[in-house]
Amino acid sequence: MSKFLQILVNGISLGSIYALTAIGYSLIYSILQLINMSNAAVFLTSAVIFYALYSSITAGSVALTFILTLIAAGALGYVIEFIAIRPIREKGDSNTYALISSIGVKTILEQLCQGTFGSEIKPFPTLLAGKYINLAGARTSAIQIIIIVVTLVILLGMTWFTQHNRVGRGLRALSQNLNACHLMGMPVNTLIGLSFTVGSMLAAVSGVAYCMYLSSISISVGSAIGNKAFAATVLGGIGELKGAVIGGYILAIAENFVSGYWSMSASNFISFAILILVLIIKPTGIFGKKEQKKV
Amino acid sequence: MLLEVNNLHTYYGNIKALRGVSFNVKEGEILSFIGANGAGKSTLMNTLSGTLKPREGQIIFNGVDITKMTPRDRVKQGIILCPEGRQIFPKFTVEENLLMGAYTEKDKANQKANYEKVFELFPQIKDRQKQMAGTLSGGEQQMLAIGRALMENPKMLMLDEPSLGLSPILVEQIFGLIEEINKQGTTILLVEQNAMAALDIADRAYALETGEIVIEGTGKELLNNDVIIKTYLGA
Repeated sequence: MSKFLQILVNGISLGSIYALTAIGYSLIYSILQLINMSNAAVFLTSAVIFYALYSSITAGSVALTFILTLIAAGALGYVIEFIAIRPIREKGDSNTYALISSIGVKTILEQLCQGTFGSEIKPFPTLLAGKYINLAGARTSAIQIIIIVVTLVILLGMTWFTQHNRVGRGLRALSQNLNACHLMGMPVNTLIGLSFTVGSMLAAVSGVAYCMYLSSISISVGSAIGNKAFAATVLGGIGELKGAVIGGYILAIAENFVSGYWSMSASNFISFAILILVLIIKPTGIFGKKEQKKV
Repeated sequence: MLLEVNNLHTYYGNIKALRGVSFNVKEGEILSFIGANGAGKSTLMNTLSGTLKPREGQIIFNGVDITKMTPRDRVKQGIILCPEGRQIFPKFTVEENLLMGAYTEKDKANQKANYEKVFELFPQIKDRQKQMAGTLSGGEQQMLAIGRALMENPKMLMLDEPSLGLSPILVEQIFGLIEEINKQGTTILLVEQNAMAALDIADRAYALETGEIVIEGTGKELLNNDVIIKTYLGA
């Protein structure tokens, strides 16, 4: 029983990390029908920024470093949209170009990180290192609890933001009918830029949280988690925010159970096995609805 | 003149959809464009609202050249389009749809006044403020779409096929409401396939054919024009 619980707790904390990154994919897809591949690189870049700041100017203050990292990630998201996506969109070129452009951004960011950070594994600051809580036999590290709680708060915050905030509601309007938003005089470009900001900030929280969880950082964290978060998005139904969250949790919990009861190496392909199964059986994912063509 | 359009040429890729359209709209009038499918009516509306860019020509609204303006800046100038097919936000409530219409209006008091005005015009949707817009009937969705456009308190309201998919009784009701909106001081530019309804309420009207204006006159003149009767009124 305690093994079961242990696996579940591990799954939920890893699922939180997937979920936060997955929301970014889903949010942007819901508005532009674009798979923004640069999201995974923002995950990595944010962790690298956190590391760089913490080991220099803001040394010692996790909170301050975290806030600065969030601001940097938010700005980075806006700039990515402004430079790499907006010109393609405004020319009216197909989304395939934007997809390729986002892959370009991903590659550039990854190379920049590799160039400045190097390719070795380095220690990453964490919170309450070595503190554990016993949850009915499940040995839960303090950082796992922090990640789960922070994710919960963010999810509640996102729900409030998209339901009651003018900008958040604007983002939901964009995902329903972009043309109508133009016609109503909404600042469509700014709002799309902000959707990248929101997605990037969530990826930043996720990236920093993941490295804190591992107490280490290496250049490969982005693609490892980024790809799985993308699988989670598709599993839940791309374009549906709650789908991204639930897909993230399902995937992470499944992975942990496979590695706990079967084998570690099997857990690495289980996500993609699930992804392929979903694509065959229900391509729209758990919450996805059939695309309705707007004429 | 509230709106002056000079020699407008708009392309869809390489297809020429508007071939030198020139006309004007006087303040306070109802101007109708009639034409068959593919005549260029929606292209004209999209060019005026700014979602399509003309290759040639000039659009002057209220003395300001808006030819190169974004849709958002045009809305701020007071010209707004209620699009074909209504294009309401189906997953939003009636109230949220209207709030999106008022996105550029930051003054809460103005917003509230416009809100009340819309419900005065359309009491039918007032009872459904908290209902999802996607579950409204066709007529109610059209009312909501018009109401959403009115939330900006525009000088000129453009309507693209407001009769689309509505029963004759509802068409009559919607066109009655359009006249009412006009009486309250909003200039109306209307494009319609339903020539009878559109000409009936129009002060002036134009017939559009393959991207060109072919006939113009008052609404009454066009209703009695032999060519119009033969081509558009099916008599």
